Parts: sequence; C-alpha cells; structure tokens
Amino acid sequence: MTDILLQNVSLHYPSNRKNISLRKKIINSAFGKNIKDNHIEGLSNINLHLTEGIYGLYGPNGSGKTSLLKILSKIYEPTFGNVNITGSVSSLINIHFGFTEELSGLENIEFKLILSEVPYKEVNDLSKKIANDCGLEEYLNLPLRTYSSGMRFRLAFFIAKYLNSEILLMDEWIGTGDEKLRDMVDNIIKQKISKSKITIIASHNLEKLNSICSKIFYLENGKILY
Amino acid sequence: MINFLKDFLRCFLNFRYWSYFTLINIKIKYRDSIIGPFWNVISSTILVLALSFGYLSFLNPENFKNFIYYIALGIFIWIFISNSINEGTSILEKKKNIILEKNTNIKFFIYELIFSNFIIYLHSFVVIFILLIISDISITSYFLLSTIGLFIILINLIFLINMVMILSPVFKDIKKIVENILLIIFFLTPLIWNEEIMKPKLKFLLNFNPFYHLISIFRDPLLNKINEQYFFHLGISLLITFCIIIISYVINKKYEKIVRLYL
Repeated sequence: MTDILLQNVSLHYPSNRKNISLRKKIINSAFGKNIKDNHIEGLSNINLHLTEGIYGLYGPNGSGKTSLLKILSKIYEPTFGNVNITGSVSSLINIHFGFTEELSGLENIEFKLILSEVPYKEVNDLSKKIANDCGLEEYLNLPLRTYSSGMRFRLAFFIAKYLNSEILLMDEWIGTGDEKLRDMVDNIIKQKISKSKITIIASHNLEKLNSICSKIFYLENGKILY
Repeated sequence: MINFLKDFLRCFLNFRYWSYFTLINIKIKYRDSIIGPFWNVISSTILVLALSFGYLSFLNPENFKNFIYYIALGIFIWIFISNSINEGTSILEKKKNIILEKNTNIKFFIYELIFSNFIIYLHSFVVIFILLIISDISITSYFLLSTIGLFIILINLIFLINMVMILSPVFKDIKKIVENILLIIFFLTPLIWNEEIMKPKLKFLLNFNPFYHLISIFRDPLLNKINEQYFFHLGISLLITFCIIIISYVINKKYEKIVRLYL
C-alpha cells in the first residue's frame, strides 16, 4: 500500500542570526517572517496523512511548499516530528537537476539516468528511447552549454518522462515549457500522474491545481492553513 | 556504530555508481587536454626534481639516486592525501545541485573523490618506477607490504574526508583550517627531508605526527626498510585508524542529518 504519514513535522533552516537585533525582530514579526533567533522555520508542526490520489500544495513564495516536497522526498530530515512513507518516491523538484554543461546531450541522458538509479542494464535502451523521443537529433552530440533554454527543457523533460515511481512529487511544473511544447508537456504530466499512486504538485497556479488535484493544501509561513 | 560502518560498506559495494561519476568527472576535467591527468604528474615531477637538485647543490646527500626516489615516494602520496582531504572540504558545496534535488547518500561522494585522486596518483607510478630503476634499491617481496600501507591510508582517508566533508558546510572556517594544517604537516613530516637529519633528541617528536606513521607504512616497504620501526609505525597507524573512525562516527551522528540544511 502506498501511504504518506507526517506527524508534527517541523523543519528549521539554520541561520547565523544568533545576535539578531531587537529592531530586526520587530520588523520580522511585523511582516510575518519565520525568522527565529538562530533558525528560520521552513515548516511548522505539519500533520498529513495521504493515501492514493492527486494533491496540490498552494501558497505564496516562502510558504514551505518546496520544503515540504524535500521532506517527502527524504532530501531533508525533519528537525522535529516523524515521517513515514511507504512506496518509491521520485521528485521532480528541479527539472534541470544533475545537468552537466560540458557533457553532450547523449551523455547527459545517461548521466541523469544513472543518477536517478535506473538499473545499469536498462540505461542503454532507455537512453536510446529518450534520444529518439526528444527530437533533438544531431544536437544530442553537442555539449549542453550550447543548448538554448527550450532545448534544455525538452531534454530534461523527456528524461523525466521515463522515470516512474509510486509517489510523484512535482514543483512548479504546470505551465512550463514554450508555447509549442506546453500541450504535449501537460499531456505527458497527466500520463505520469496516472501511472503514480500518489502525486503531490506544488504550484502558484490555483486554477490548474483545481483542474488536476482531488485536494489542495494551502500553506503559509510553513503551516498548512487548510 | 555498526550501521555507520555498514553504510560505508553499502556505498562502497555500489562501486559502479560512484566509479561512473569519477570517470565522467575526469573526462570532463581533461576533455580538451592532450596529456590529461599526466599534467598532475608533470607538475609533481618538476617539484621532486627541483627539490632533489636543490639538495644536491646545498646538502650533497650521500646517495642522491636513492634520495630522489625517496622524495618522489613521499611527495606523490602526500599530494594524493592532501588533495583528497582539501577537496573533501568543498565536495558538498560542489555537489549541491544533486544533494538538494535528490535523496542521495553523501558518502558516495567520498569514494568518488578518493577514486578520482587515486587515478591521478596511479599515473605517477610511471615516474616512481623510472626512479626506482635508476636507484640502487632492488625490487623485493617487501614491496608487497606497501599495499597494506596504502590500504590503511585509504581507510583513514575515507573517514577523514567524511569528517571534513560534514563539518565544512556547518563551520565555514574548517576549509581554511584544514588547508593550513595540511601545509604545516607537509613541512613537519619527513617528505622533502629525511628523518636521519633530525637531532636524535628531537626524533621522538615525529611520533606525534599521525601522517608520519601513515606515510611510513606505505613508503618503508618500497625502500626495503622492514624492521622493528616499520612494525611500530604499523601498530600506531592501526591505532590512528581506530581513533579516526570513532571521531568520524561521532561527527557523523551529530551533523549528517542537518548538513544539507547548511548548503
């Protein structure tokens, strides 16, 4: 069974603000920033129980959406509280992660697949599939530093397309890519979501989240408000 | 403690993973270079030759051919050790784009770093072998004992790098402290000088330098110096290894969970 359980989870980012002035304390509290004496509160007392479904995380910048995704993908361990996750997790927090400028497109495909712990025997076949699928053709032999941002997105996206898991975490993915790609991206995202048992999408786009997600959590200052 | 060691072993056994990244790193680093990693060997060889001729001019050591071989053995292994430790202080910063995007065991980076420097070190064997042929030292079965020394050095490096790797993002001064300590140790360890030139009264001070013992257990067999002193170095080196593993474990336990938050 695929399941996510978070109990009283808090995440504190360390800060070298041990001697923060009284003036700054007043300003921070007036503007609602979560800056304590020697830490910044990324998340505060989060309780969640997620079973199969598609969930949205919505909130302003700095509300804790990405921090929560990083806790769920086990990149960060919570400062307090417990996290229990049953099922394999793949995080698409930053689509360009692991890209190496000096490697060619083909080498980057292989690099990212190995980084994503795809079994070695599958890497070769999968690399060929992605290379055919992404449509970058002869550009695949050139170093990544020569690519435009659209080409980079295309390459990253088609690699991500082939990485499947039971729990899928996505950050600010909706509406990315250029005009030509957007419909195709949306379709592929829908396909990926249908293959995963639990999908959690963080986004600023409430309209899109409403059309995809069964439940949306609103975050502010590291807390789930509703 | 057992889990800590098992974690290192688990990462080590996944050698296809970290060796792939090592080879990619070397490929990127030397992609457009004609002689690639041999540049490191050339610069170290120039250092060895410059030092040796300096000694020849000023001190005129008894057996110059053996002395130059002795210096090469020490300098090359020292460069391997110090580069690995120094790079260890910034490895998490360099790998930030992976660490903050994917749940990756950071211990993989230790093996990747050591393997990368070890491959460069292996290139220096060409120079060492040429100097061995020129020297009066004959190749004996004692040479095999240097592999034990090298193994102990590698074990120590793994746990030392783990310490500096985890501490550096948390305490920003560690990088500079490590750099300076390694520079001091370079001069305090008999690498570019021979312990024979020390005053007998002061020789005991060398025993407080852990790198003296570690380098000796690798270098002495390659100089056919297998005697009581060698076994003393071996015993002390094992004790140092034990202490470093314990310290590394304590640091790991306290900081490993939170180190990503400092990146």
